Amino acid sequence: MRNKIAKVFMAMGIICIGFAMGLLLYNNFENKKAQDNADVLLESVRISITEQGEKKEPADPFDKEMKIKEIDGYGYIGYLSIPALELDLPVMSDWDYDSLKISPCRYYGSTGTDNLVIAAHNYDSHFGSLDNLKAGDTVMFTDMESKTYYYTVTSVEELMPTDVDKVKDTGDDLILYTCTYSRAKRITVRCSYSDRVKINDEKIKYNLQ
Amino acid sequence: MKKTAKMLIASIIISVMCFTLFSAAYALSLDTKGSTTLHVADSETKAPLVGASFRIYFFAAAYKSVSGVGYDYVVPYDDCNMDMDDLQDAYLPIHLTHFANTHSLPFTEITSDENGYIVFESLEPGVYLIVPSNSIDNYFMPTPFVVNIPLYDDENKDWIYDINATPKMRIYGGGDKDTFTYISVRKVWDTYGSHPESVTVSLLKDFVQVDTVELSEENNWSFRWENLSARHNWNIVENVPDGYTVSYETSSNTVTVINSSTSPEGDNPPEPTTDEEELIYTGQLNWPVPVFSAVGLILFSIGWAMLNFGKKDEETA
Repeated sequence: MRNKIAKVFMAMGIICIGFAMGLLLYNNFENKKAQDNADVLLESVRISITEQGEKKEPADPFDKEMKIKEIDGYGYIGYLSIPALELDLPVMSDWDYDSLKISPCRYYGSTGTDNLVIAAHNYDSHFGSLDNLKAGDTVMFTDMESKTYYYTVTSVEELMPTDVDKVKDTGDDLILYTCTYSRAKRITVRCSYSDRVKINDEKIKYNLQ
Repeated sequence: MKKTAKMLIASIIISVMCFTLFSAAYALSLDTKGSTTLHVADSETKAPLVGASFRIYFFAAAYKSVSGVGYDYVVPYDDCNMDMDDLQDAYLPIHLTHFANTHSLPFTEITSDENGYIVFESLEPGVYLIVPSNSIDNYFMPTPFVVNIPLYDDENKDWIYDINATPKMRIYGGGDKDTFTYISVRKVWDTYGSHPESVTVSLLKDFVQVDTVELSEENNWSFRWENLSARHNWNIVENVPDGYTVSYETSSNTVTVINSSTSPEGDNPPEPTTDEEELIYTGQLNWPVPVFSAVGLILFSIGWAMLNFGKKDEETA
């Protein structure tokens, strides 16, 4: 009898470990896929931005809407660069759960209204290391009109999932967020404009705000 | 690539705004009948298009109000579950078109003549839905729109009973090559307390239902259709649950379907926030990995210990 119970314990232990390993492999697979998607799409977004720049279509300074370019059936508004995390990621114009598996997505706002909010999965290749950012780090966002916005991280905090009002129209120029490891909270990075905006890789305009 | 949603919104707005107001103006009278004349012509070349059929549905009656004229849904449109506060709402005609189709509601259909004209006459004051019923080769199907009679002419400070409208007729620019697009839907509850566990939404191809999907927590209240031919208009409408009204917001290729409760308790928040207003879940399911690994190791160790110490006890005995 004792032996039977012992074998049941061992079998349950093996099942638990097997499940954990399976989930680990699956997550790693998703991570890898996300990395591959991001690499390919980032290149496409950059090419698209370059083509746009070559057309030399002047941007409308009064247009608060961000230019959206469709690539492989998804609309993109540009790409995000976070040097401190060695990340360059394309950003989709709208979010849904399928899109989030491919790329970070705009959750709310725009650069035109200084309230852009970008959400991404906590894949290692997306926002998995967002909590490593600290105040003073630089974040850049390049839109589809080849205009690069420079931001400085002002704070990193954890929010509850219900804290929607703490990311929408908060006065922060840019907010990045993702789930914590447990998925119970959201790691939220608040940024404000730094003193410069780079336009078309040619000249740097200092923002005197 | 596929800019269907953007073009759709633009065409809706343009369709609605394309009314060229003219003709007989009158003092306000709800006994006067009106008319609507459509000029169906290529939007670029202005060449008339023959054989385009449009249907007209009467869905709201006019009444005199303090500010001039108000409109009330007529039966059975009063069950369509979408407020008529804003007749310029680009999604109102699409929602009503789906409602009229699924309820087989009566309409009058006329086909454009050799000059591209369609005239709907003897129209009682009220609001009318005008829907294309056939497509013309190489042209996008124009978007349904609404016309209200009478219409106030701000410039001349008078009421107009005979309305001219020009549906947007755009040629499909992709040549013979098929291009594809997508449309996704997100569901939001703008209400407090409980709500249905699921709703169904319909995919409309050129304003006719071609697919239905159930949205619930299981699919995160969202769904995405892909590989849709960019030659067609694609929209999503909700089959609205009883006790709720619907509104739609569109952004790029995403439609957000918002339901508000019509019951009094739905307007009274029991708590400051609702579980539907949450930041999106952006996390992988990681936490079970260490938890199940630890539990598995403990269970295995216990079993191994019981087996081995049991043997030793037996040997000792």
